[in-house]
Order: sequence, then structure tokens, then C-alpha cells
Amino acid sequence: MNLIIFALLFAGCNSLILGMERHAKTVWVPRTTPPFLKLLKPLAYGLWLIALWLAIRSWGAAIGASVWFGLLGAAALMVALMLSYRPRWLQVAGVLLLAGCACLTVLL
Amino acid sequence: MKFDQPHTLRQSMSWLHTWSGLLLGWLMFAIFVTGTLSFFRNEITLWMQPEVHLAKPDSRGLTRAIEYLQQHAAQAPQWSITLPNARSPLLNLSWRKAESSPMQTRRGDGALQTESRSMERSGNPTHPTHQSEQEHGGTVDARPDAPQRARRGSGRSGMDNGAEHAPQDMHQGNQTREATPQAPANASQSGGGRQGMQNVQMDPASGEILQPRQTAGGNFLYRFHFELYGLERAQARWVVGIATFCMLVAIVSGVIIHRNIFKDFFTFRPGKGKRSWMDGHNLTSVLALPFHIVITFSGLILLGAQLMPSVIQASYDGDTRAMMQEMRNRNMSPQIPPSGHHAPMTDLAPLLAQAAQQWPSYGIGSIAISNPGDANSVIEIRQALPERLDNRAMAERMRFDGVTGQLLESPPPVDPVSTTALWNALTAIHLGHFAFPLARWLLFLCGAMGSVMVASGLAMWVIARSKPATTPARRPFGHRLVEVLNVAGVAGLLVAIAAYFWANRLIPAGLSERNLWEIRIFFTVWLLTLVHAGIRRHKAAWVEQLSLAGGLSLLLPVVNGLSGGLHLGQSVLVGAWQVAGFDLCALAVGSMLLFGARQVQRHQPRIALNAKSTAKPAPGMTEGVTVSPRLKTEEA
Repeated sequence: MNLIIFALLFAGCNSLILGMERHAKTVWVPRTTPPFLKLLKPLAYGLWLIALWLAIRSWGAAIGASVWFGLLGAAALMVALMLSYRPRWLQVAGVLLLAGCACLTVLL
Repeated sequence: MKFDQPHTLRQSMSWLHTWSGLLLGWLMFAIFVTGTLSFFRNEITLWMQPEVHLAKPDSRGLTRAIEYLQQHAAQAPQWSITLPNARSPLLNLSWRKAESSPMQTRRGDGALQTESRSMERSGNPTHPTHQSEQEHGGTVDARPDAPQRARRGSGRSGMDNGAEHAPQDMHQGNQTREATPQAPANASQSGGGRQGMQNVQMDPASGEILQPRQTAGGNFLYRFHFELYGLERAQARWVVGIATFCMLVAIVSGVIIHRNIFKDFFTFRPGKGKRSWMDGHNLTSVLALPFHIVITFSGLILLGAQLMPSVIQASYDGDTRAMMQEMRNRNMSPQIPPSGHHAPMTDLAPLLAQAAQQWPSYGIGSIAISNPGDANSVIEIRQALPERLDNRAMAERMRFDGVTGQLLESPPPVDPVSTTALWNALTAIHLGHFAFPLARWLLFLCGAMGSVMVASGLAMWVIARSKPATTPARRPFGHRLVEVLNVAGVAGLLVAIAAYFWANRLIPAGLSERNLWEIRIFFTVWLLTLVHAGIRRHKAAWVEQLSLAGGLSLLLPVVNGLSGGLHLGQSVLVGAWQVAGFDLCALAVGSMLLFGARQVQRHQPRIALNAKSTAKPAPGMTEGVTVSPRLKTEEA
């Protein structure tokens, strides 16, 4: 569960930066920014909210929210560092992480 | 310092941010770093006692503990047993001696002694506060969470638990009244030890009583982060309180002056001099902003009794104890006097099973047995920490008749009133009470980001004012002073902390006062880094101290293995994650520090090149002699 929440937050951050023009240019070098650009921001907030809901469900409102903030910070930090040092990874990182978690959950 | 008339809110806030941040910035950094480490204070102490590294949890441990207590503490009016938990593999046994005799010898007095005394309680995880609570509550059960604390403290030497932080603040208020018989009058600062309490640690797997070395442990770092060292406790808390307040001001003003808080949410542009420092400062501030605000504010709240004594004066006639009692807000278990008739104790196993059934998710944390061996004995089983914020992680209890094993009526847990709930929530977050491993690591990460935030802010003060390298003019004294203090305050502190851990292993285990020696080495090294920073050129000082701190940290796992601890291969293999976690962290921090040192070393002031090639003034005034922009990633 922890991992899924983190993956959701990470994917959220990932899609958020893809939805920001300035960052999107670093990630998709030849300016082939995808057409669904406008949908990415709402998607990001949606993912965050799902993560928040999951966190509150598993830890209760007070601790769930605290943990959510902490995990969001960690995820955002990772995305930010990736954006600076390995921007191309962010084309797929969020999706991969999310898919990996989903697979793990199904398997276990 | 510019006193130009500011024209906008942002300008005036910017001034405020700069100076409230700089003035006590080094102290804030030290508080942040040691405070961050305090989240793992029990684990740090465990690491610093290699004698207990090999202990393993075992299901038969409890039986062994009871046997031991029956042999060694048959006359004691109460036993407490803390079970192993995620943070400690040890069984912690404590009992009150039948006749209360001073257990700890006190050496002299004075400010230094205060610290030493709290370190000295080797193997005694409990705390002065308990003693006083006992006195006031009048019963053993008046402090029902003592074992709970001990459990979280996982009962190693000198571990004060977070829970006492606050009561101790309160304690401060009426210290003179509370001075206990054994405590020298002027040493009332710590309120006296917990007299008559015996405490031992048992390896659950072998039933062996462990004799860990005396160490200042994680507890020293914890104490340091809100009471510093060698100062009168009240004064030290004032100093820390003021620094905390400056921090809060800096955070709020920082939010106001940040131009694009959402746009720059992910922005970090390395290798761009001042720009990068700004980014790093913003990034670490904004991403952990909720943490920074909460931790700073709750820190102030925890120091509240010190900073605003008049509140207690007005509402409680200065009786801090009464206030604490009301804030604790719990039903006390009734105390039953011993009957004087001997009766064999009931078998614990069915009771434990019953309790385990009652609390399927959290399990059992600790067990307290009052009047053991008496016809009136009562066994109280306490839940392991529930994950709640508003109730100060208050554990539920089940009480059993010690002879028949019948379930007795337990006082129901109280729902706190909203004020108490708020206080509990804030302090519980600050102290990491509720924190299960994930939450603890997140708190640690946020704390590390906070440390980077302070360090990068300090560095930026210098960078923003640094003249182009080509300018021959001497820097003003103030700038040089800040430079020196930056090196010693940031890199030097990290060197000193690493040296402190080294000292733990290099000082002979049997040396008397070795906990004090650890602390002395910490401060000596820190002082030396200040001298070094003063002698060397700015950049060289950074490089050398960062490398030193990095090298010392990297070698810590090696030292651990060579000096009797569980080395990394073993600890991972047997799953001693408390020890392995420390070593892995040391490796991570060490390599980041070395990376930072290399970045600083490689960095060429860009302006000098520009000036030579084009003689064009650089845009935006200075991009001058910066230390590496990436320095910021490693100070955590």
C-alpha cells in the first residue's frame, strides 16, 4: 500500500511537470509535446487525490494526511532531481512505476 | 545591512528573511541536524552499544524475563516489562526497589553535570519526570504510560523519550519545589533521577542480561537540539526558543517573498551558480514546507512553558504539575495495596493471548505487574503504540487479577478535549510518537531537507555578496566572519558528529565517564573545525571539511565492524535493521558529502573567466565565487 501511494504521487508529479510547458520541453527534447498536454494537470491532481484517499483510508485522517505530505515531498524531490539530471527518464518513469506497483499488487 | 526604505511588502519581507535567517542560522542548522538525527535516537544509541547488537526477539523471552524478575526482584512493588518492537530487539525490565535507595551516584554539580547525569542513567530508560509524576499521581499507575515510553525508548541507556520532552518543560517551572532528596539543590534542572528504579536489558533469545557500555548515545544529540549543552537549562531553552522563533519568521517571510511557488515547484537548475543555490533553497523549502511549518511551530509550543510562563501563572497559579495533569487527561487505574499474603502468579500466556485478540492490529507493547507474588497482584497489559495523533498515542490497557487471571475492569481511555487534542497532535508529530517506520523515515527525510534549506540559505548569503574574483578589494570583516562560521557551522558540525560516532568506538569501553568523553570529543572537534575554517581559504576550508566529514562517515560501517559491532553483511543477513540502517545511512551521507566536496573543488568561479574573455559585466551583478551549486544536495 505504501508503495502504491508513493507511485501515485510520483506519477502525479511526473504528469504535472509534463503539463508544465517549461519542463515538458526538457523532457521531450524535439518539442513533440503530446497533444493531451492539457489533460495532464487534472490527471496529476487526480492521482494525488487518489493517493490522499488511500492514505487516509489506511492510516486515518490525521496520520494519513501527514504521511501523504511526507510522501508527496519525497516524490516531488525525486522528480525534481530527475528533471535536472535525467530528464528523459521522466517520459516513462511515472507510468513504469505505477505499472510496476500494479503488477506487484496483482502478483502478491 | 541595508536600511533603504522598502517600497513593497516583498522587499521588506526579503530583508526580514535574510536577517532573521542569518542571525541564528548556524544554531538553526545545528538544531535541525541534531533534531533530525533524534528521530532515530534509539537506533543511534543501539548502534553505539555494540554489546547489544546481537540480541534477537524470541517468543520465550517473556518467560525468561518473569523468571529473572522472580529471582532478582521478588520484593519489588512493581515490575515493568517492555517487549521487543520495531525499534529495539531487547526486552527491557524495570522494577522499583522495595526500599527506595539512591541508585545513581552523583558527582558534584554544575551545568556539565546536568548533562552527564542524564547520560549517566545507563540502562535506565526512564526519566526524572516519571519520578515526579509518581509523586504527584501518588500511585504507580498514575504514570501508566511510563512503560509505554520505555517501550518506545526501547529501554537503552539514557534514552529519554520524546514523551518527556513536554512534561519536562513543565517540570522546569517548579523545579525548586521538586528538587528530590538526592539531587543537589542547584542541580534541580533535571529534577533528580528516578530513585529506586532498577533497569536491565535482556536478550530475549538467550535470556542473558546485557551489559552495554556507557554512552551518551542518541540522547546527547536529542538533548542538544533543544537544550544545547553546558548552559543552564532555562537559558538554553530561551536561546533555542529564540532561534526557533527566527526560523518561523524566516519561513513565513520566505513564503511571502517566493515569487513562483507553484511554477518553480520542481525547478532545480544545477551548475548555474547563484541561480542553482536559489533553486536548491527553494526546492528544499517548498517541498517540505508543511513539515517545516509544523515542526517549527510545534517546537515553539513545546518550549511554551519556558517562553510564556505567565500563562501557567495565570490559569494554574503557577502549578505546572496541575496543568500537566489536566493535559494528560487520563483515567488512572486504581492502585491496590499489597495484602501481605503470598500467592503464586497466574500463567501469563492466556492473558497475553486474550490481549493479542483484543488488539489484533497493534499487539502488545508492555506489561506491568504490581505487587507480584502477592494475593493482590494485578497484571496490566498495555497495547503497542496506536497510530493516533490527537491522543498522544495513548495505549489501551487491560487489567487482570494476578492470581486468578480474571479480567478486571480497566479505566476506559478518555477522548481528549479539543485543546488537548491539538496539543497532542502537534507534539506527537514533533516527537515522532506515532511514527511507524515509514513515517519516521519521512520525518527524517523532511528534516534532512530542512537542514539543507538552512545550509543553502546560509551559503547564499555569502554568495549573494561575494565580489567578482577579479576584484582585488578585501572583503569586509563581516563577510569573512560569515564565511568562517558557515564552514564551521555546516561542514564542521558534520565533522563533529562523525567524530562523535568514532569516539564512541575508539574510547575504551570500560573507561569511566566515557559518555562525557564522547561529548568532549564532539565539541573539541567542532572547535577545531572553527579554527581550521579561520585559518584556511574559504574554498579550501569547505573542501577539506566536507571531505573529512564524508570520509569519516563512509568509514563508520567499517569501524562498526572492527570494534565489536555487527558489520553490515551480518546485520543485513540477520535482519538487525536498526544497526544496518545506521550503517547504510552513514554510507549514503558520506558519499554525498564526498560528492559535494568534489563539486566544490572542481567549481571554477565563472565570473573570472567572463571578465577575462569579454570584460563584460555579468548580468545580475554577481555570479561570483560560488562554492558548488550542488553542495546543497549533500548537507543532509
